[in-house]
Amino acid sequence: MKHHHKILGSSLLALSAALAAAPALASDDCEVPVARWQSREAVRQMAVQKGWEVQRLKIDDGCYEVRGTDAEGRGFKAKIDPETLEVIKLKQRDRKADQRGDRKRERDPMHDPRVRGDTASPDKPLFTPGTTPRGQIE
Amino acid sequence: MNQKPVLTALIAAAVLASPALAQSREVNITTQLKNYGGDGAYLAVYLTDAQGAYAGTLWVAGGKAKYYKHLADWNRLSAGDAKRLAGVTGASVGAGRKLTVTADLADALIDAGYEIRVDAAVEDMRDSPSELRVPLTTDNAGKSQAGKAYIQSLTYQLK
Repeated sequence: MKHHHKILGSSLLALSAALAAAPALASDDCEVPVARWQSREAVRQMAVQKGWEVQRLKIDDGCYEVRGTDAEGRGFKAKIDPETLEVIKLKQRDRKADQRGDRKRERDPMHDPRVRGDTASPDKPLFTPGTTPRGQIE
Repeated sequence: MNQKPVLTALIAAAVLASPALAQSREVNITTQLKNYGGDGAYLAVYLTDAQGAYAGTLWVAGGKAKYYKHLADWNRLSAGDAKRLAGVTGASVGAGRKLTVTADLADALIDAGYEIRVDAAVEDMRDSPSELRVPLTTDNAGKSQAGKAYIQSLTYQLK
């Protein structure tokens, strides 16, 4: 019985240690001393190499943050490590807006080629004029 | 003496009326639902033509328009039809219940590649667009067809 408690205790300890470590791993902050930072110009050059067009370059949470459009013309926001100029996090800025747009297009029947054009031709009556279908639940 | 013109008029009226009668047929569609153990089903009973394009709505069971998007195929295909709900809506159909739809269909629709389609949706259960598709033919009349998820059988009669 005591032995069981010991196992339970140690596994709980391991679990809590893992949970405590998780937020530290999930953090996107950069912890680079200012002395080791590369210049803003270096970030701009790196961006040019990647084919980015930089609209804004700022410092956020100890990292460089670039907003701009990528080589394919999509808007994005990227977090850059100030020492290695490595991309830590990349977020397509207008992805959500794009998705909303897609859904809107899906909802909008005029964007559906199957619907556009030939729908319910009122000139070809389906039912005998003056009658409507009747439904009954039993 | 006076009866002759009346009789002629009657015959003439009958002759004139008969082509009109021949142009439409009453169709009786009976849909029996399974005991799927859920809320009342939303059903859309509609017709598509030989090319699969939407032709018209026969019946929509279920009163709340906000749920019509779950009858996905019907909702998409009929979106261009502003009158798709004109007088053809009723209550949703409970599990195990039977829905009977009666319509006077144009004769030209029968044996012409048209299909009866049914979309079904139940709250908190899977949507079943095109739950059932039956060609609208004289041969198929009276034959029972089963649906994919909620419809136990659909039978239609031509009169």
